[in-house]
Amino acid sequence: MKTVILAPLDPVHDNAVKLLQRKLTEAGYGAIALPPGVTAEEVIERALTEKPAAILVSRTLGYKVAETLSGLVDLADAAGLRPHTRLGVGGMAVTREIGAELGFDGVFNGDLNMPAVIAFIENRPIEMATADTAPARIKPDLTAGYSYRFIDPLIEGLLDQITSQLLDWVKAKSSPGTKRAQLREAMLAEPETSTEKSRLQEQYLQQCDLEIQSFYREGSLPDGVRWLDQGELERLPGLTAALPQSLSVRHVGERPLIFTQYGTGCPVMDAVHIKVAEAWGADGLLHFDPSWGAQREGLLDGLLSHEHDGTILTLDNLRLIRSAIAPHLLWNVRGHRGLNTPETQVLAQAAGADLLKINIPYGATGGATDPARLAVDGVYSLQLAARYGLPFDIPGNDELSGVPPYKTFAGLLVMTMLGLKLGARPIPKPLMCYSPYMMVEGCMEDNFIDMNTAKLRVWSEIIDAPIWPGEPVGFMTHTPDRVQSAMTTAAHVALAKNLGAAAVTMASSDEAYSKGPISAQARVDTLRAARELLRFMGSAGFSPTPAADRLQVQLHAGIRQQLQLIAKRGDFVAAIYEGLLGSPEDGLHPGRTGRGTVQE
Amino acid sequence: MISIGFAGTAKNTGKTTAALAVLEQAQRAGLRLGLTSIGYDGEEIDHITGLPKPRYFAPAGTLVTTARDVLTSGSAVLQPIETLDTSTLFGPVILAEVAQPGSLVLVGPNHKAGLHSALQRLNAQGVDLVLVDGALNRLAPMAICDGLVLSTGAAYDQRIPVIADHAHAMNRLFHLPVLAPAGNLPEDAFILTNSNGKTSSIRGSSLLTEVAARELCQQISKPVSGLEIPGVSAPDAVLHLIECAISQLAGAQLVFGSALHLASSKDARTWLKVFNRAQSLRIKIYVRETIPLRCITLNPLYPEFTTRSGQYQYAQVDAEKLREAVSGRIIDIPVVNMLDKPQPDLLGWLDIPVKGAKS
Repeated sequence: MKTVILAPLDPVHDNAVKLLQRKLTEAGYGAIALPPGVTAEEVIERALTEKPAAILVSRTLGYKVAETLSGLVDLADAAGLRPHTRLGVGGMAVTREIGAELGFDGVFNGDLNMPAVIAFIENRPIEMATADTAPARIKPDLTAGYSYRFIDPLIEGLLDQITSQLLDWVKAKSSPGTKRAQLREAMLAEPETSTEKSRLQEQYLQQCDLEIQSFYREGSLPDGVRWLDQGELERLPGLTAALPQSLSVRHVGERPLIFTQYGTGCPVMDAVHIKVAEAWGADGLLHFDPSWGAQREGLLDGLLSHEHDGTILTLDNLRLIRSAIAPHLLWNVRGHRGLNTPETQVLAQAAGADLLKINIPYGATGGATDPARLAVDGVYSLQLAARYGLPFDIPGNDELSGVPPYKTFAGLLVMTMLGLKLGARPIPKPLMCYSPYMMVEGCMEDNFIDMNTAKLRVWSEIIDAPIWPGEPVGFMTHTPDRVQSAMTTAAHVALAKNLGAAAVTMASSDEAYSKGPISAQARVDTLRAARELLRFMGSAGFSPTPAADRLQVQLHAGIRQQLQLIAKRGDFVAAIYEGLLGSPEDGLHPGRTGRGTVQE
Repeated sequence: MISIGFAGTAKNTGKTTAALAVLEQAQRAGLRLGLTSIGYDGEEIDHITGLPKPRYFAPAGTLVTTARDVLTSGSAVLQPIETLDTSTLFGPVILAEVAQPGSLVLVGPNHKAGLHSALQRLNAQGVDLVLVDGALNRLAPMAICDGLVLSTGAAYDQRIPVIADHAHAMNRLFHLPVLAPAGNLPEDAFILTNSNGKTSSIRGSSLLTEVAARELCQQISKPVSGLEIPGVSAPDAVLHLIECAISQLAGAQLVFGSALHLASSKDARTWLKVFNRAQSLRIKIYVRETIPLRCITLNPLYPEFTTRSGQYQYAQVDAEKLREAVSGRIIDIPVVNMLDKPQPDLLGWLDIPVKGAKS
């Protein structure tokens, strides 16, 4: 049994020492805690008797305290202890630089990290030892443990009717999007220099807009787009080298997984943001592409940077970003709307994505894509998701336009059933937000808990499926005040956890008001705030008012009613055009991009 | 190869400023230089006070031992040569050569054994002079250097007489008479020599505390001609031992292992009380090892915390009064304020042969 001496070197405070003594004793060490007020000489005297593996000192740093700490280090060296005894220091304001200046071998600050402490005592590199002593981080499966069994037979029946009609409707149809996806898959299977690949690319370009053709044929770049240069790529490792080790946002339990979204326009900057998110505990990331890209037929190629929001979807960009993501993190590439929806799934899978994102009703309204076109492309995308074995999530962000949640949820359920029928694994994403509908109807005037509780709980009455509130949680509760913004995000994360959510998507604290790319520190704000609130809450819960039950009943009834209307209409695409999943009165209009491009 | 340690009585006493002045003169003299640190040096801003710090600017061809993680922290381009067997909070220590001149961050071996290994490697590279920058008031690793520069000033204490008293005491510790090495004495034992010159060993600790002194006292039953304490000792404990065994120790030799052991324990001024008491009892004090203290540098500036701004800013004591007070107490080695111009011949003070003077 190794011995460790713990010394406060403080006249009064020794809480950290007591805590460490308990943890080290539990870990099988002989932990000797010296009392407050002990001098450096007394610590060294005891160390000479006990011959410990390490002396750990706890002391809040202030001016002249440094000399006390360095006096201990000097005395240990002069007394011949250092070849056998490691010296560590922890406390407020003690940084690695200060620790080095003082002559310590290890520094501990922030929350107690026992694997790091034990690695230090055992004289193993801390970064290595953390990985060694903690269980290897395994990429989680968001859909594991869910049966996808419908609990509400009425809704199940209606969904079966609606989706059968839709699958029948798309059966003989295709689009430039589905053709490009097929060509892209064929091109990916060919060697880079093969003549067959060139032939396939020519066919591909025939399915593209002129702007995309001109990129491939003449090398012209769209406005605001440029090639990444070598220097940017070479600097990337250095930009993320000093980030701390990954923390967990959660305090108890394994769920919800924490997702953040990125899409600065520049893949290198994305990689930095990803590493920051990873360091502060994100479990997954969502790739956001520029909206103009979704309105062009065809995708660009190569390593490209974009001066506006959204990072361009190319295989090279995606592979560069994937290379920055730690293996245990989940990665979602969104393709829920636009003219390149099927091809996006192909590229995402080729680049190593873990999750896809597909939603026909939302993409065909709020996402501005023609409903008929997206119905064809969306079903094809679901078939790809099934073939690739990748789960897909279904964002419910049409609520943000003013659509009542029962209509949005009806759309999510149609996509859920559609995915299941095609062999894919759906993940519905009801939005936790303060939507225009809620404001107008006054449903959230007293609190934000009841309505969000109803919106998440209602799913457990309908289907046994993973629920992932997105995108991001707390939408429309954020203000330009970063503290407020981080606080409201954290509160929504805590509520989502309490309601058993499988995952949540978080925004940065400046996401809604950054007027450009978000900042890394704002990304940390919300992750850190959520971590703190989850620590505060632990296994404790929220207490909704009776209104939550009432809202849940209304919501469930509204979903049933809306699905009945859609089923009665007998044409899902027509139902979208006609506003059954969100009407102009709600704030939604059927999309127009790609209209008339569906081919029989 | 000559190695010079730059130690201080406290943080911000001017260790790096002194080292930089020697660096500049050594560079002009064409010496092949080596640089290392037992702490963290070369940062732009002090980690505790937030005040600007002097930075190292190394010419091409300089050899450095610094930690892996700070190799690219300065503007100098460093070419790694080998990884040493010492690790720091910033990764393993690397022996590297400055390929393109520029600023440096130095995080070298933080203990005596590590510094010893680094100096050996620098010597093997043909370095003429190694400058070892210290950290705060740490002295112990400097035991293996060939010479020492001690920096003191208002950052140690703003009372000039206190600074002068302390500098005087430190100087005394480094100028104690030295006995010839006694071979490999265990540091956790005390060696008694009786009136016939016969020695006996008493097992103890490499740190003599008051408790250990009481136990030792009980074991010295007869008058002795010598007592040797190879390890570290606290001055209060030695004083206690002397009082406890007055009759046995009167007229004896009291031999300490190293002047650095004394300097590493408590305030040097406390040792003067021990020496005075010993003198009154005809006890003669010796050390087995010392390190030549070559000069003392003064810094009248000190960081002062201002409650209004919540930040540190530099304040200063009267520079001339400080120089007068310290010079008045130190007569055997030079005392200089490094901010005074022109700067003295530091290489001469440090007994460093320049190229042209080499035999």
